[in-house]
This record gives sequence, C-alpha cells and structure tokens, in this order.
Amino acid sequence: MKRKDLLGLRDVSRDEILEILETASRFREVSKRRIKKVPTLRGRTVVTLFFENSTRTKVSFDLAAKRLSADGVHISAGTSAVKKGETLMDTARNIDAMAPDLVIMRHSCAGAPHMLARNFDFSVINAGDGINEHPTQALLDMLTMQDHLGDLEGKTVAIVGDVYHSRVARSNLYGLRTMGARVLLAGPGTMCRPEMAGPGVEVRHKIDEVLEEADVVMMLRIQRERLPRAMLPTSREYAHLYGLDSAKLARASDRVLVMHPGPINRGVELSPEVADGERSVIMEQVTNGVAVRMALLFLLLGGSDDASA
Amino acid sequence: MTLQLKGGRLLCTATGVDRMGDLWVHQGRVRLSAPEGVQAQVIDCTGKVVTPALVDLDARLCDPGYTWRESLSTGGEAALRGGFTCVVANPETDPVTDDPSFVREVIARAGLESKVEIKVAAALTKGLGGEKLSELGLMAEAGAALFSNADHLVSDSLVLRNALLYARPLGLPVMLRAGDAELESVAVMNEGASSALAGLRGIPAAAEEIGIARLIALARYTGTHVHVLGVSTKLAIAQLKAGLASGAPISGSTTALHCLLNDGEVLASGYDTDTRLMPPLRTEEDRLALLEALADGTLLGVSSAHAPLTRVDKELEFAYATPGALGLETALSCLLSCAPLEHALRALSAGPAKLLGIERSLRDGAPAELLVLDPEAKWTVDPTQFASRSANTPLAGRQLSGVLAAVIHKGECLHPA
Repeated sequence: MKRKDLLGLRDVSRDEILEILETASRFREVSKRRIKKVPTLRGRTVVTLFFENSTRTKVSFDLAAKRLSADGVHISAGTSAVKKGETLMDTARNIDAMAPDLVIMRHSCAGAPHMLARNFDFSVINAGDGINEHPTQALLDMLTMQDHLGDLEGKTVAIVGDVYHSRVARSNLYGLRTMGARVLLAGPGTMCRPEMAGPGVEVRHKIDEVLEEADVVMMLRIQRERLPRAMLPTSREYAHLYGLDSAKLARASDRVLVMHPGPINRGVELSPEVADGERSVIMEQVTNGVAVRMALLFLLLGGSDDASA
Repeated sequence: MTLQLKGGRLLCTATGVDRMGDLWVHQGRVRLSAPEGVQAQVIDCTGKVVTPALVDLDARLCDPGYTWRESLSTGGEAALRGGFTCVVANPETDPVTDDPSFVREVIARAGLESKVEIKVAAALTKGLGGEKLSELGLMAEAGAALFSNADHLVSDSLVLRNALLYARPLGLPVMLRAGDAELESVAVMNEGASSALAGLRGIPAAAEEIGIARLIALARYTGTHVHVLGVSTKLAIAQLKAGLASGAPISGSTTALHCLLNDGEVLASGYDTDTRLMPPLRTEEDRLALLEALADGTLLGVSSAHAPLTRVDKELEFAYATPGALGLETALSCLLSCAPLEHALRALSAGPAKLLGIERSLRDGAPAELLVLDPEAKWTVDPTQFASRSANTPLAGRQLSGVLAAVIHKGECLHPA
C-alpha cells in the first residue's frame, strides 16, 4: 500500500480495501496460535493518542501492535488538549520529537487526524474523529460481512439508528459504496437525514422496510450520554420504533447478519435475545478488529512481505 | 502635487462614466480638465482602469486590545494595498467600542497611525452582549459613522426593536448579521451535503433566513435603516429582494470570500481552519445567487469581513478554531476573479460609499480617492507578503486577478509609496 495515513475510507480505493482485508485474513491465524506474536514490526514505535474514552478500540490496537512486536505507548488525554492548556499541535510536536513511526488517534473533532497527517512525517491512523469517520471499524465490519457473504458487490446493508452523527456509519457508507454494496439507512428524522443519500445509498425511515431487503443489518449505538438537545423523545420510544428485537427480526431473511459496533445498550437498539442470538456476529466483529488493525499497521509501516512468518 | 492620470479607461460605477481619457488630481480633487498653470506629474495609465477607490464596511482592526493580530497602522496599510482608502472599523475591540471615549480614541489614533481613513462602527449594545443599549447618542456625537453589533446576534427581539427605535432619530444605519443563536450553536460549517460528507456539524441556511426575516420585519416596523452584513444564502437574497421591493429600509452586503468560495473548500483543504468563517462558506448554488445579486443590485455591496487571527486562534482542531479570515488585501481580487469588473467596483466602492454618505466618483470636483487598476493581471496570494500582522487566508497559493498600479488617497499617490 502506497499511502502514509489512513484517515478515512472516503478516498480509499476498492483495490486498497481488498488488500487490507486480504492481509487481515492472513493475520487472523496469528491470534489463534499459542505464541501470539510475530517479529514483523520489531523496533517500530506505535503511539495511541486518545482524546476520547475507548475500551474496545484501544485494546484492539494495543494487541495488534503487540502481536506484531511493535513497541506501543498509550497516551490517554481524557479531556481535550485545549482544556489542558496544550494545543493538539504542541502535543503532536512533542510526540514527533520522540520519533514515533505511527500515531493512532481518537479525537472528538472531525479533521483532527488530518491536521496531524498534514503536518508530520509519522503515519496516522484515525481511530475515530468526531462524527466524521472511524475507518478501522468499517474495515472490520466489511471483513466480517465478507466472511459470511463473499464479495460485497450487490449485497444490501441496512444501517439503523443515529446515522447522521455516527462515524461508524459514515465510514461504512463510504467503504461499502466503494465495494459496490447497496446501503439502506433508517432512523428517526433527527438522526437520518436526506442529504446522506447518494449513488448506492438510500434513506428510509422505517426499520421494517429496510429489514426485508437486508443481507446485513447494522444497528448503531444510541449515545445517550451525548445526545444534543431534543434529538429523541425517550429511549422507550426509540426502542419501540427502531430497536431490533426478535419480532422485528422475523421480517428479515433468516440468513441476515446482525452487527453492532459496541458497546450495546441492551434493550434500546438491540434486545438481549437478538444481541446474543444466532444471527449476531458481534463477537466476530471484535475478533476481526485485531486482524484488521494488524494488517493496517503492517501495510502502513511497510513490514516485510513475509507477513505472518 | 498635481497628478495627470494619462490614457486610462475612466470607469465610475457611481456616475456611469466609462470612457477612455485623462484625469487630473489637483488640490485633493478630481479634475476632468488640466488645471492651468501647474506642472502635473504624469502617471501612465495605458491599458489600465482609473476608478474610485474602495470603501470597506466591516473590518476588524483589533485595536485596541488585540494588537498582536492587527493594529490601526497595519490594518491601514493592508487596506491601502487592497485599494481601500476608507475602512469602517468593527467594534469588536477590547474594550468593545461601546463608549463615546473609545470612539473618540479610535478616531484620533487612526488619524495619526493609519495611512487611510478609518471610520468607527460603534457597538449597538453594551459589550456587544445584546442586552443593554450603548450610549448611541453620545457615540454619534463622538463621530461614530454607524452602529453595529459585529458578529454577535441580538437575540432578544425587544432589545433589538428598542435599539432600532432609539437609533432612528440619530440618523445612522445599524449593521447586523442575520442568524439564529440556537441553530448556530455547536455547528462549524454550512449544513448540507458538504457537512454530511465532512462529518462536521452544520449551520443550516435556515438560521440566516430566520434571522434576515426578523431584521427586515423590525427595520420596516421601526423605520431605521438596517444593513445586513454577510448575507450568504440564496433564500436570504430572495428575502432581501422582497424586503427592498416592499420599501423596507433595508440593505445588505456579502463578503468577498463568499463570492469566490463554496463549502466544498472545507473538505478539499483537509479541514484547513482558515476555511472556517462566520457565516460559513455556503453551497455553490448560494454562491451563484450572491453573484447574481451583485449583478442586479439586490446586494448593496461586498465587505472584506477582514478578521485577522494568528496561529494561536487557528492552529487548532476545526471545531475549536476561531472563525474568520483576512480580507482587505484580497477582497478586490476575489471579486475580479469571479465577477465582472463593473459589479466588483460597484460592490466595493459606490455601494458602501452610499451607505456611509461619502462620495466615491469621477465627477469633476469629487474627492481624489482613486485607483489605477490592471483588472486582468494575475498574482499569487502569499500571506507572508501581506501588510497585515496576521496570515489567515484560505487563498494562500491561489492565483487571483487584479493588480493595483496606484492608490490615491486625499490627492496623494500612497501606493506604491
């Protein structure tokens, strides 16, 4: 792969996505060994710089780096750099002065990783920027879909929930569109806006309509802790209209895949029976996350061709 | 010194003059025939346009209070290089220009420190807070040219109604931005396809359209002339047009950058914070409507919206960066790069001059405030070469049209010095 950074899937080509997914597939085997480590990135330094809380993504990147023998350092800024008094650029200058090879950043502001990528020589992976993109999540989602459905060309993926304010949805939308899939969006009027429609992307509002056509239904998390004013009346109403339970799932194909980026609000967007049910591939998504992140570290840092030796 | 501007195209959008010929500058006045008994210094204007100098309605000069960004001196120099010989200073200083003594101070210091004329827009409300009226009467006596609430909205309609009623007998226009505080909160760019694509929270065009409807209604009701700054959407233009047709005492201007750029610039630049403006850059459809409004006269003018900001304000995440960009040194070239010459000159000279009640024309005897301009010549924007103390422009590296061969203020050729 030729690129220095992975900031989003908006500008990533089909060939690049296929290369990442192919490499990730090969790396999966490493995590199944008793000694889960290869020397591929020995001596390379990877910094995770997180301005927002994360459990899953942080652990996933950490394990990916460790399994490739890279040296990892985690910086958890907790709150924004502005509130601490140091600007993001200054934090980055200091990190840069210690010669990292790659920085993985999560930040509440869209465009923050782009600023780092533009100004520094180290590679940048966007681990979520505001409501903009979360490309590694979409890649692990696509790997999971591909495992079950094969080529994604012509497949129908329904994304349900707060699509407009979701970086997971945005990255999936760009990636799936590039892969030739058809995307159906559904959610309340405040969260699913007509301007997101485009070639290969349709906006519906009723979950029933999208379930009937879907090969995959991706349920988004309702971020109750940071909903702007007057976005939803109540969680109860949301669960009733947009939550996926067994009754609604019965309208879908019996081969439909149920996905969720986590963490789940049980009883809001997913009922426990569905979350843990036989159509759910949520834990496979998590497993694939490590492989996808290993692949990206490997590809961006230009590891040897003998990837999983 | 008497000057002879020889062989240029004399173009005056105030009087409709457009012909080839000579023009003289004598004793600070325009002369259409050679003054007798004096030797004139000849400026060769062959292939160039001789036209009245520009007037800006809204520039933040940041002085007093934010002089690391700009000062009356550097702002005046920037204005001169951009072809403006009269600039209205925005009241967003520290302290806010909301007291007669501050108005007097800025006027007095500008006379000493700035090469061009600086007029003062006095704050309509105390501290620009939108709650208490400033001493509008005393500030008018102190020499304020008009009133403005800068970028800050007066959200309380009762306060705004009373401010306009109070200002009416003072005879000065009130400049306001049209917006809606709640719809603008937490948002950082224009809302629409571009913000959905960029993953940034958007300010809908409806915020401005609600705001302008309110301003037109209150202008009509109070009878006070309201000038709407930064009109930026197609529907707001339609509302302004309807307001003008109904006889409401209203006028509007947009900004030079809104005429040249659209909201695709945010993503195309990789979230460059210099593309963060207030109002935000709008859609291409909106931009074309602004150009049409310049053509048909719905918009009275274009302001520089000069907003000097340093790396401290701009080298931040997009959402944390302060909105605004420099304008004085690029406004004319912005317009010449996207609009016909006559529209550009009317919008930057005749229109604003009319609002301020000053003369910018090539009439015999008019004040000698003139430009010699090569409208076709190209230059490349290099912020390191600006006279401004700041460098925040989304135009860096861009090639624009329009190079000034001379700027004449009070009968003297000040640029090039």
